[in-house]
Amino acid sequence: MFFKKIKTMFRYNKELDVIDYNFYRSIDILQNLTNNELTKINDIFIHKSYKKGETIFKENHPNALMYIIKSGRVRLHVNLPYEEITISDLEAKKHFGEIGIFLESNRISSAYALDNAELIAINKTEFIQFVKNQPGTGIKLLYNLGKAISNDLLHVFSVIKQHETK
Amino acid sequence: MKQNNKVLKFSYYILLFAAIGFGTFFYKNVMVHFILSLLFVFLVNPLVNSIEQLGVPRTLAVLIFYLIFFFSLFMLGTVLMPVLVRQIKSFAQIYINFINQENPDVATLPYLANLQTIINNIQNLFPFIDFESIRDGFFEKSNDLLSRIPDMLLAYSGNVFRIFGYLFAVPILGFFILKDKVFLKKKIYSFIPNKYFEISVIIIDKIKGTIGIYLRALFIECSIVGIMAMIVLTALGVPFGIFIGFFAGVTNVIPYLGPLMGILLGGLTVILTGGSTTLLLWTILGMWGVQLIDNAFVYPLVMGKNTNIHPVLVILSIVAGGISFGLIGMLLAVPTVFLVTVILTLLYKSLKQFEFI
Repeated sequence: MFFKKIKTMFRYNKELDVIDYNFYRSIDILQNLTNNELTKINDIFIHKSYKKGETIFKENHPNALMYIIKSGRVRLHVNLPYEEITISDLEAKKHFGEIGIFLESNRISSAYALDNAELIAINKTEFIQFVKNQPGTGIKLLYNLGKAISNDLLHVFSVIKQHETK
Repeated sequence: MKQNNKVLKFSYYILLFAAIGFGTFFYKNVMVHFILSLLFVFLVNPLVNSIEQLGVPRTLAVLIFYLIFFFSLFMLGTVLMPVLVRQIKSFAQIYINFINQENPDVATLPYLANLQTIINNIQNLFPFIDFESIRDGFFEKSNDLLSRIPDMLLAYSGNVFRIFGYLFAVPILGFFILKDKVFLKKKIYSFIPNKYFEISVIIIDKIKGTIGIYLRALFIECSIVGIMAMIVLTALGVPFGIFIGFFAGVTNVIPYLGPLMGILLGGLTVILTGGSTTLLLWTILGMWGVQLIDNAFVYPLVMGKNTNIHPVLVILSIVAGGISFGLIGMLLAVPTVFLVTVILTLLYKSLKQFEFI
């Protein structure tokens, strides 16, 4: 595995980066993007692989990247003095860490890989630059992100309601 | 088996770092080429991006940029360079003629000969002060200084010939970096260990922003100052106006001292070529006006709040650069110190934020 990584590092082969358009479109925030648009936004995607249990980011660290899960599972959690509270376990095609794209805030939770996970990292500055340069695609992306965040909000409200009726 | 793999990995990293260390040491020139082409890419990348945004594929955008780049270099070379070279040549000739006189004496210059009559008048008013010896001491010192200026300016400029080598190599290297920027970036980022991934993204982003903006702003500011000085001097009829303007533009990189050097060269030229006192005053006023416009409008507009190194550090670095590498050292001192301080403060801040230290 380790030497394979070194080999691929020095191999000048762009075919390694073939884009699976249909898989990309099945991701929430990339739905309804055309092939052309996906090729363009693929330029700002950084592919990273994490081993089981490996930390992705920690609470209170600067927030400059959001992630999309290609495969595997990721756990978001908050560390309190005596316990660890799980916020959610995310599966493939979900995204996390998007707050940093909109706010200058630090990480509000920590994340680690539950299984071996393949992630797509998106750099905040490059994302904002992309939205500025490609406003058409940018509107779709921002709309999808807004939709996803609204869904999360609805979910949080329903959890609170359930909690209160108990 | 697992233990074995770890040892293998560890020794691999040690070997890798040793190789990089020795490589950097033995191939300093190669590293300089690489760093210079990175700087070149920083400078021109926004231009390539803006061509790419017109809907042109990346490679074609880079090619179009290079066409424009070399065309403007060629135009500059055919229009400005001959004038500049001719002016430098005749300026050097006048200077050399002056130094090579039987007995080089600044007192024989037409402008200073006028001064002599004024001194004589003052001498008559105050007979008890020995103006003669003061004047002789002053002239002796300035003769000495004048003959030493070429040495001071030309120290280490044997490297100028190497610059022509860079002029060819850097754009070619830069071409491939520009063309495959996305590919290289993805490869490098995916190879960085996960633990250091986020911090390196943040550091690289910030360095890219600050350095790119700084270098572009510096280039634009100096070009504007140089062109303004050329126009003003040519309009005033100062001999070698293009050369002095070029010199003023280049030395404008040096804060505080650079503008003074431009004014001095302008004044010196007027004195050496026997210009009138009015022309001398107008030259100094004109160059000063150019600096005024630069400080009031150009600098705040292009630089903004980008540079905030303390003046003490600025002056000390200019002095250090001047002592060890002559004029070239003075030119490069402040940008180098700026880049190093930016990178170091950023590294420290980010390492602290990510709790590595």
